[in-house]
Amino acid sequence: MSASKDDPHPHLPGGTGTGPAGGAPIAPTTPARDPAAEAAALAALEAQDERLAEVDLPRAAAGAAVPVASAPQTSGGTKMAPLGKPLAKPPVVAFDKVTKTYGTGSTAFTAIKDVSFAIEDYPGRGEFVSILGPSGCGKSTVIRLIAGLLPQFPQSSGSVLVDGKPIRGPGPDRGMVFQDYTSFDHRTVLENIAFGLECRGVAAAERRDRARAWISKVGLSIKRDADKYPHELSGGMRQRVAIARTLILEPRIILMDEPFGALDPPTRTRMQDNLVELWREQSPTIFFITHSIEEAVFLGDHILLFSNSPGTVLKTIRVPPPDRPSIEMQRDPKFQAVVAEIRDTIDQLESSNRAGD
Amino acid sequence: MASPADAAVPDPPPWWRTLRADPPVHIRVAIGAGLVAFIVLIWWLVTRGDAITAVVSPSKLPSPGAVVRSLGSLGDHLAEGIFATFERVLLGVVIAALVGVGLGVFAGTNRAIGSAVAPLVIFLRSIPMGALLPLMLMLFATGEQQKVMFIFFAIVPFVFSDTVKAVSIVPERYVETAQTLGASNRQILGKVLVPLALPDIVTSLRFQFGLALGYVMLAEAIATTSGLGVMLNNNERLGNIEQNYALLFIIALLAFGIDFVIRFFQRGVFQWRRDL
Repeated sequence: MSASKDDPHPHLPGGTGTGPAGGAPIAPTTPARDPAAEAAALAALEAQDERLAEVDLPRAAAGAAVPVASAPQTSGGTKMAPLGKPLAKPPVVAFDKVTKTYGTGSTAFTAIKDVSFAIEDYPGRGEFVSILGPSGCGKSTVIRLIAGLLPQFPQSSGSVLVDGKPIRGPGPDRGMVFQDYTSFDHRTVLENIAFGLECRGVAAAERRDRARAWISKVGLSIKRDADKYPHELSGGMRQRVAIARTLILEPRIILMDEPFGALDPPTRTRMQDNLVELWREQSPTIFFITHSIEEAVFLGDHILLFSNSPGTVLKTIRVPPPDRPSIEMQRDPKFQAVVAEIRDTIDQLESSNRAGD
Repeated sequence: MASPADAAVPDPPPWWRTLRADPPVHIRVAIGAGLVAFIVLIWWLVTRGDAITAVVSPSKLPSPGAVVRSLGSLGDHLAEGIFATFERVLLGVVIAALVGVGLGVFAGTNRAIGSAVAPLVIFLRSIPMGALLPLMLMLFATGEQQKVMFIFFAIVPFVFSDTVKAVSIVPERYVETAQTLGASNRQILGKVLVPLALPDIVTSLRFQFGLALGYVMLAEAIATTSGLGVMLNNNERLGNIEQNYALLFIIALLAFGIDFVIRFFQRGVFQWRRDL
């Protein structure tokens, strides 16, 4: 996976390779290409993979059925494909020099500029990509482009590929959870969760059963909550409904635009743990926008760090995946070190960016 | 029972010294009923005595007792009149609802239709209702059709615009969410936009029903044989002012009753909207 506007190996349609922008779990990499540093980073990754092997055993077993030529010896799938070697499968999502400009002439506004990155396909595991950046940096533009939602879609230039194919518009293979509460007010919790199945024409009895199962999976009570209307729910419960409504369709890609942004901290950490649990179970690729460095570090395999507008990917940071509940992990000094390091990186990048202007 | 600890708890300021505070419900009812009683009392005082001794002449304002007694003389005419009037109003509103809501939903979702209909709607909305009446007479003579069409033309532009607005104000997020859940345009219309707009559409129809009741009185003033408007006009010609006052109370009561029933129904059906 690579993500840098000065990446000398931009992803071609079809995906010819992955950039070496990975890094040691604690030390974020620099985009500069230093062979020695790269080797060190890879070595660190190996070590990380070995540690991960323990945690990832169930996942690796699930993924073992699908042979992946491009990602050798995937214990947790965190390994990179060697440069230049063609992949058997195209990346799940590939951005290549994507720019989005609104309007023309003096009123033109560029939301994102030359955004390039590729998220590889890890069957049976999925990738968790946190998108971190200041307000108004075009993070939402990126995921709305993937979702195929107007007016961000289509991009002004560059290519956005999902599974190697251009996007035509929104679809249930790319589920989306918004920050604002979007439960359909006129439908009960059960009817909200069953909405997608209803659109697919699933029989009433079956979709009720499946929706009920999802009510408990997201931590709601079938008995108490199934027949409630959204106005009777708290913010956290509404987001649980939104997550269940999206995941019941088993999308390959889930796009989350600050879904926990409006929740109080204890609810937020509980929701994070629930999300990790569901992600492991279903192994989709998740794009998760957040303002919180802690949240990005806890949830993500990768963090895409965005610059201020016009948004570009400043840096891709690899972080250890969650192996404990959010509260515990956030107490770990190593976790706090990663967060501090990323905070420093953001400060550095921002000051150098300003100097560059 | 006042313990020393209670003394530390201050009394809340009373409602009459608190801005925008509601008095307790029994006081609210008492205030309302009190004012009505006061008005009736004044009414009774100024109409006491006969045509010569009363402060206000009975030919202008009959006494409360005379108005109540005149109710009895209305008899079968009253039921007949109410039925005739409401048949017209209901027919006009139903046709306006079918056309206005139907077109409004499509104009709200397909803005090209909206642009096409806009000039016509602006024209109809800008015409004073009374100005439509002579044309209706020329087009539909003096039959039932004329009165129903008058109501229809008077309210359909408003039903239409309210429907367009109700569909338009459903947040785009709901549409986007439905799209990412795999809903087709038709499904979004039927499962998201229309159900979410429906409470506001019904509210619009409820208001327009009340206005239509006013318009029909106007239409019934001309060459009509039955209806509440006819009764009012006949009383005017016969100098039967007691009955006119009685009829006005009955019409107001009916209008309020119907509004109340529709609202009750609305609250039951659209439980998820707490602001109705």
